[in-house]
Order: sequence, then C-alpha cells, then structure tokens
Amino acid sequence: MSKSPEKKLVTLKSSDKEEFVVEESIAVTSETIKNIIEDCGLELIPLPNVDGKTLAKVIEYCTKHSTGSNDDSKFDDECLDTKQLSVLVDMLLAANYLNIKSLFEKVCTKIADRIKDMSVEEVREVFKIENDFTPEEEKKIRDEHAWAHE
Amino acid sequence: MTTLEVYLPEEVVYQILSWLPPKSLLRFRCVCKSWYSLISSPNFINIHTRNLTYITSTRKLIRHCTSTSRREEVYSVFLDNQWSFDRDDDIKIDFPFPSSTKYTIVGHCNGLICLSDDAHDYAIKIVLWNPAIRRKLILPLPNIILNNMGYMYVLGFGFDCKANDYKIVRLCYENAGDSNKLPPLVEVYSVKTGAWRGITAPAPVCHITGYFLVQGFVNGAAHWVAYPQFCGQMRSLILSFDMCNEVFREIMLPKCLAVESPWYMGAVTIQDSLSVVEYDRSFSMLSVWVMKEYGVVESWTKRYNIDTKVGLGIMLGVRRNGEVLLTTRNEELVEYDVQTRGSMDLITYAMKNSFFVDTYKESFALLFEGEKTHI
Repeated sequence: MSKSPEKKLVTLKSSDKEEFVVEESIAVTSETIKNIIEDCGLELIPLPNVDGKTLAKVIEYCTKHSTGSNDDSKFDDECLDTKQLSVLVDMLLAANYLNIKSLFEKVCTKIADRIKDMSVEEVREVFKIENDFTPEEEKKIRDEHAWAHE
Repeated sequence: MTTLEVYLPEEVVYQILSWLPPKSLLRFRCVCKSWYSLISSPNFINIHTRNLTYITSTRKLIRHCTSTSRREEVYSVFLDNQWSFDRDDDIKIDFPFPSSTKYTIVGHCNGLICLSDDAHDYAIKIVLWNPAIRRKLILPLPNIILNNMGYMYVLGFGFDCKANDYKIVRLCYENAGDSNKLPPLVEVYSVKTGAWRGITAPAPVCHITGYFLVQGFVNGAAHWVAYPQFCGQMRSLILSFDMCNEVFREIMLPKCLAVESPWYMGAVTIQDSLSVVEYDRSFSMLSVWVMKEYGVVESWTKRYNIDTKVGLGIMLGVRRNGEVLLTTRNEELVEYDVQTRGSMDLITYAMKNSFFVDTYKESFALLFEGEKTHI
C-alpha cells in the first residue's frame, strides 16, 4: 500500500540533533529543502544552520500557511510575538537559509518595528557595530537631519 | 539592551532596513560608514519605495485650513484603528509654504503631497512636499502658459513605478463659448528630469468636469470624471492618464452613472480601488461606486448610499473599518457609521472646502531632488 504523494513525510534534523517529522508538501515551502529533495531525494534532511527551537517555529509557520488561507495575520502576530529580539533574528536567519520568502519578509518588518525608535548608540550596541566615523564626521551627518535625532 | 549573539550578513541587514520609516533611517545614517552609504544609495531608496505598497497603513493624513487671524494650513495624522480614530500626537507637521497663497491639494502619493495655487483656474504655481523627511520642491513654470482668461487647467499627480519617478500631468483647455475646445494641450513634469515636456501619445478628446476637479491615483494612473464631445446624449466616463506609459485611456462607467451629469461626480481612490462619488443635484444624497476589479466594467459596485439631508456634505474618505469620513454643512469633519447612521465630530471650525483626507505613508520622495524646508 503506497502512500499518495501528498502524504509523503520527511524528517528535518536541526543543528542540535532534534528531529521533526513533517509532510513533504509543507517542508517544501522552503525553497532550500525543496531543492535538496529534488536533487538528492533525501528523506532525512540535516539543517545544521537552524536550531531545534527555531525550526519548530518555522515548521509551525509553514504548516499554518500551507492551507492557503489569507487571513492569518493574527496567527503571525502570535507566532512571531516574542519579547526577545534575538529570537526574531534567529527566525530571520532561518527563513533566509531555508529560503522562505514570506516568512523572511514578515520577520523583517517585525524586527524593523522593534528597532525603529532606537537611538544610534542603541543600534550600535544591539548589532555590535563599531562606529568608524570621526566625531566631526558624525556631527556633520547628524546636523543634516537634526530633527530625526530628537 | 542586549547585544545580539549572532552575526547578521549585510544583505539581511539591508532587507531589515528597507522596512524602516524614513525618520529612523535618516537617524541611522550615523551608525557607521557602510550604513551611511547604504541608506543614501538610490537603489536602496527604490526598494524602500517599493516596500511601501506592501505596508498596510494604519494612519490617515487630514488637512484643513483654519482662519483665525489669517489662513493657516493644518496637517494632522490620525491612528486608524478598528475601535478608535485618534490623533497621533507624536507626528507634528508644519506647513512650509507661505500662508498668503490659497492652495489646493492635487494629490498625495507615497507620502508626497502635490499642491497648486487654485487648481481650478490657473495651476501655474505647483509645489511638492514630503513632510516625513521635511523636503520640498517648487516646480519651474509650466511651458503652456496662455492668456489666463479663457483657459481651464487640470492637474494629475502620481508615481511612475518603472522609472521610480513622480510625475504631474497638466491639461490646458481653451474656452470656446459654452464649452471648451478639444483636444486640450498636455504637458508632463517629472521630478527626476526637473522639467516640463510634451507627450508623444495623443491628447484625450474629453472634457474634464469642473466642479470636482479631484483626481484619484490608483493602479499607476491618475483618473478624472470626464465626458466626450456632447452630441445629444450625455455619456460620462473616467479618463485616466497612465504615468508609466504616458497615455490617456477611457474607462466606462456603469450605465446608471454614465447617463448622469458628470458635474456632480468625482473620481477618487478608496481603499486602493478606483471609485466614483456621485452627489444628487440638491446635495441631499451621495452614493459611492467602487470598481472592484480595475478595468472590468461589470465590477462597478455601489458601496454606499448616504442621506446627506441630515447636514452632511462632501465625502472625503473611508476608514479601515468602513466608516466614512465626510464634511458637514458647517465645515466640520465627521466620521459616519453607515449602519447606525450615527456620526461623530473629529475636527471643527475649518474653512470652507479645505478638507483633504488620505492614507498616511512615509517615504524618501524628494531626498535627492528637493530642498530642506527649514522647519
């Protein structure tokens, strides 16, 4: 008794060795996974760039979105509702690696919303960016749009 | 503020930044040199502008004029939520042009406002203003400047998404007795070239109605209610100007609107759809028709029928929850619930015909071409 193609299952293995059994039709929401399956025909797919915690959320997203319903913005707000920016960033990087365009864009807008009111110093601290401007250069740029810094 | 443990590749940072509001981005130019060049690049600005179409705006921009000692332009932003419609006090917008001139708002696109000094008659002094980044642009005089008496000018404003350019189209109708001569003279101004020029496509053979010279910009084109040369039977229609291809087209109205006088109709954009507002001759009733599928004549649907005898006036816009924003005979702005027929005051004591309402967006328009507003 062979399974119909839609019910075919694959196993996704996270970087911390957690395994998730998922319907192939849902897993291929990720272009990356789709390509691996098409090229190599694997049934156990290692994803060394995504940890178990994040992979679980990504799978949740893909499952909810595979039904094709458009009215899932409320779900997205819940699914992506987290107090920690680092969790959102992990999801963003996972969506990038797994090539899931819709999830990537949604998380982008969430992160943008989270950082939009930050000061210049706060942004540098969060993203570990070194200031390579001289004080004079920075002042000149600040003065071009002083009102944006209020 | 915890530091992120992971390293974000540059292309990922680029994507995050492309969803930020302009004020944040102008501030973040100071973060480091690579962010400065990124945020200043035309490529990035184009992607940022494109992203605006995917952002659901939850705010409305409302303009009105007051006249205490002199005419004053007031711009407020309201938070348009399901159960509330309150002023956003965090956004403060100061009008940067001299108050002595009486301005008409031609249109508003991607956060860029186009104003003209009395668009009905002269439409020679035209300005562009982006309040989100505090930049303005005063257009050079148009090429077609004719004897002011005996000419009527119509303006259209919108965005050419292929060229990433904002454009203004100007039609000049010569008066000839009872009606105007056809075709009008046409010219287009583009922000990127900074100049007026003619178009290669033929001018329309339609008159644009005089009372409501409003335009609706949607689907890349400006729209007006118009009518062809009168030959016995009135046939109102929608005239459109495609900003990308710079061609005029006609869109048919449903039969019951087409036989009506175009003088009491106006083309507007409601929740991203082309719509027509129709008033009856005694202004005791207004109806709103929406073209649900752009270009499909059968998809014209009557959406609202509002009894305005109760003191209501002109339709201005629609809230996200479907409530209608209108003026009253006393020049107040109210929100009106079509189901309960209840209305609530929002703004009072405005000057006659000075209200303008649109969905509020913030973009980088005029970042390279305009000048600072000094406010």
